[in-house]
Amino acid sequence: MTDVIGPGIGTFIGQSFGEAANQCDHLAAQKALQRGLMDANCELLMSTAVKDAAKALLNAVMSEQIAATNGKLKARHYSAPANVKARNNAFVETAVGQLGRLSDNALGFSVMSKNVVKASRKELGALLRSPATCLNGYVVKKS
Amino acid sequence: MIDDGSVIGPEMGVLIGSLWNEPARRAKARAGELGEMRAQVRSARSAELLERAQALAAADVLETILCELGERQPVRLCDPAARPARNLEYAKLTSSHLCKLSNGKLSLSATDIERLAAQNTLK
Repeated sequence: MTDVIGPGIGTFIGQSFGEAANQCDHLAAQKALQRGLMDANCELLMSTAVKDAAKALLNAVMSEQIAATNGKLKARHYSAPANVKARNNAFVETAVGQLGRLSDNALGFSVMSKNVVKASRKELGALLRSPATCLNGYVVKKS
Repeated sequence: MIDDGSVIGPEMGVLIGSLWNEPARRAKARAGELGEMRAQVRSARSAELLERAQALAAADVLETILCELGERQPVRLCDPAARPARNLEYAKLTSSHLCKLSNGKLSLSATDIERLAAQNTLK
């Protein structure tokens, strides 16, 4: 009997090599997607914190307005149209606290992005519309 | 058929068939796993856009209220009794910002807008 390595063996050996390469590619793609998913989730938490802070500020302004209408407000603070600084500070502090709560203190806003908003004299809408000032820098404190 | 005339029986055929099929099966499983992860990323990105749209909408309503308080606009939203109007404006602006942020790919339906407004999350 003549031993012949048939085409089947070669094919299976080739398949094994190909399989190993495919597995490597798969792991690389999986790792990239895991990173992408982590980034997307961090950005989602950050955006949620920004949204909650914007709504809290709006509600604080309306609380003052309701109190003023009922004659129970001594002085306007957040609802004084000129008091941009107080509004921006309150917005940043609320967003920082909320991001900490949402991420179990794993995420925080970068110092620079907080300072940019606090130092700005623009209203919240203008800040959020600009990518440079929309409080979008975050740091991972623990993983 | 092999040279010596022996026949590869059904057992061997089944084995070869399953070996032959194995890479395709694994590739399919891997593609499914990656597809699921991609869907999760897409879903997180869409949710993020919705949150950003809501933040922008809240900021727009705030700006309108401040303009009204500064008497640069007639009173409409800053009236304490206008809570439904504020919430409806917020929901409509959310839909508009979501559409802009997603380059027209996402938006809220009329029912979603009504539902968001009905949540009454703004004072």
